[in-house]
Amino acid sequence: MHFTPLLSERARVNECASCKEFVKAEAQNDVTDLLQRGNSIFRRIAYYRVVVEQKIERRSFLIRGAMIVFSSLISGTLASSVAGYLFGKPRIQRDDGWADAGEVSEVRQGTPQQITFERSRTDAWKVQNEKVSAWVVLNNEDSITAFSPLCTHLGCAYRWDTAKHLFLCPCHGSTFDKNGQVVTGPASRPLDRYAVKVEGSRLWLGPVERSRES
Amino acid sequence: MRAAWHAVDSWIDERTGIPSACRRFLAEEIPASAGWAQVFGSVALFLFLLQALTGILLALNYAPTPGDAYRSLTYIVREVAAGRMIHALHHWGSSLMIIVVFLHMAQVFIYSAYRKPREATWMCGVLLLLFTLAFGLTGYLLPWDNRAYWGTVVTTRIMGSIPFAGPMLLRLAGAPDGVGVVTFSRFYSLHTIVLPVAMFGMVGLHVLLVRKHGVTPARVDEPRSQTFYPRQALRDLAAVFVAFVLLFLAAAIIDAPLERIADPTDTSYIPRPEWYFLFLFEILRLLNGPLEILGSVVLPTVAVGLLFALPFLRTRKSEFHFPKRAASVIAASVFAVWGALTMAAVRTSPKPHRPSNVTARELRWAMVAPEEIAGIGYFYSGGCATCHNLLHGEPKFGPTLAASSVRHPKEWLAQHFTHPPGNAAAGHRFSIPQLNALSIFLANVNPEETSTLQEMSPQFIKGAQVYIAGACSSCHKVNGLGGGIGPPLNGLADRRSKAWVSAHFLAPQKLSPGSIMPVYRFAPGEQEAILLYLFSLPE
Repeated sequence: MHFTPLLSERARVNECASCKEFVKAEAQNDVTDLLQRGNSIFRRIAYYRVVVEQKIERRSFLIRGAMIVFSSLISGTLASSVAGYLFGKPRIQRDDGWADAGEVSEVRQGTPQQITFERSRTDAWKVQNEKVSAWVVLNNEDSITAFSPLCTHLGCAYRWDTAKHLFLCPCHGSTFDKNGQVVTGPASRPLDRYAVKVEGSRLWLGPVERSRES
Repeated sequence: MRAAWHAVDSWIDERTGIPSACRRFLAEEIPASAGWAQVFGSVALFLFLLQALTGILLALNYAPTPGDAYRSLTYIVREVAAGRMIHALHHWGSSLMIIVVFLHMAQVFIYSAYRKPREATWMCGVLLLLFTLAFGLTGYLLPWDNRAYWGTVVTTRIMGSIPFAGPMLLRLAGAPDGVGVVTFSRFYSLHTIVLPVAMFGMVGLHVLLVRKHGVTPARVDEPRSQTFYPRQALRDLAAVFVAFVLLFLAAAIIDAPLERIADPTDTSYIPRPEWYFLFLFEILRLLNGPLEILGSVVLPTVAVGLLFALPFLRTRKSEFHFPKRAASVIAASVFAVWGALTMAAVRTSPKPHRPSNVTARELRWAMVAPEEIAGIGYFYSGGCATCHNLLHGEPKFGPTLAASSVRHPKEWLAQHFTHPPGNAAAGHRFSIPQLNALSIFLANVNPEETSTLQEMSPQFIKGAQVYIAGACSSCHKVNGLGGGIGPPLNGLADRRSKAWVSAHFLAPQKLSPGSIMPVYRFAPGEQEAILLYLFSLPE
């Protein structure tokens, strides 16, 4: 069953009648009996068998070792490149995600306003301009908060309910207050916010930061 | 452990027969004379499988439409992790595969291994060679850079020059009116669907036939006295290993060429085929005019026909084959002629003529568009370097420009320059020509060119800036681009002296009557700069 190397040398042994007898006896574990019979040809075969087997053993060990080394070097190098290619992160982190969202002075005290602006989005080798919107609130201390326009429950677009003074999601009825905190569920997280900065008179909105469970 | 392995092995073997099939395969009896000469087939097979692997990997990130093809390839090479390596392996792998396939063929030829009963194996092999070349030819177009585009233009022209069949072949290649989007789709489909299927089938048949007839013994009566495993298997694997190491080193050290995106209007581009087709290119150069048909059709057809006919050559009495020594001489001389033609083609590649007093470095600089040269100057003077690196350096707030494949439209850039994010105070207003130059520079910025741009002397950059600021390109051409009212400025150094041009700036109509060129009065230093720039432009 086991694959035997150097068939030719085995074959040579098997061609000789004495050898055949010896091999047969060996298979039945009767070798000591044969050797004790004092037949010198069997002694010689036994000796030869030991030497040849050792030689075969050693050579096949070396060959097998060399083959394992070669093939594992090749497959190891390839596998590391392939794994890097398939699972690695693209090398360059681009697109900080900041976009000019308009004049600061247009954001007024009081009710939240929905503003739309253009942002470029990088998709592998393509840069696309996309329209995005934000709900902006001018807080008392003159700072601006900008909410992502999607409900944190399942991503429906919510609106400002002027009568109730709440953000109301039409899908499952989640409501949020002016600070984005959940008033009624099923939403469990406050509204997500854009990073905000003001430069001169322009309002810049950055990446959306995911809010934590309340 | 051993017993457990044995149990698993026999379980699988009883149900699939695969382990014993492998053992039978490894125990194939081969002639005692088989040795290192017989390893090339295995190496070629390995390289083909490697091409298939890297090809599939490239396809995972590659967009097979012109335009997007180039952008996605630059994305693979510059941004995808290990992408440069995979692309280089695929590119250099194709060259190595061509070499190994030819070595394999030479060995079979020298050993007369194509003789009865192995005629079918040989013809199968000739088909495999043609498929391999077709892979190279179709794959050449896929990067969709200038090299790909113009190389394929030449290929399709040759195809079209074939009498009778030419127009039909062109229609089949999707190129009746020149290389276009349909040509691209046809080449892509051939390269990734038709040829791989045909190749895998043919390789299977080839290996099957090799097994059926066995390895050719050195003498007819030589007994088969060794098995494939372990000695020959080790030799094959060692040869595969050597090929892999060579390929890996080449891929790691040499970037696969990727030029600018294909520009069908760039008439100054000198197309060259891949190196293994250069000999044909050279033959076509030698046999021009009415003889062209000889080089483009007759010679290749005769060569392929001879290869197919080789096993059937007969003398009056018996079958004919070349004795080993004669065959070696023939194979060596074919390689020598091939090499000589290739070398000749490389040597006759027209190199731009260099005006006297211009260094090789300046000549290389002058090949870059003036907008880009001026652009890098504005990049530095406009303070862009506070937030951006060009090629490398300490990480900064903005992206590293040459390493990124992101390209923004001009309006975005104009807005970005006046309102840079994060640092409003650094906003910079550029004039329209300056903005133009900067956006052209940014649209083309890439690692190779940036290193050329970065070594330019300030004086040279200033010269290009004066050229841009003076709007010279509305009337004059540089490197084939610009207006046609005035004479092209390339080769000015051979036509005029610096003194003449200086005088001409101040009084154009006096020196060339009828000229509508306005008078230019340059600030100190500007005149020397633009003269340096203009006089470096090669003919």
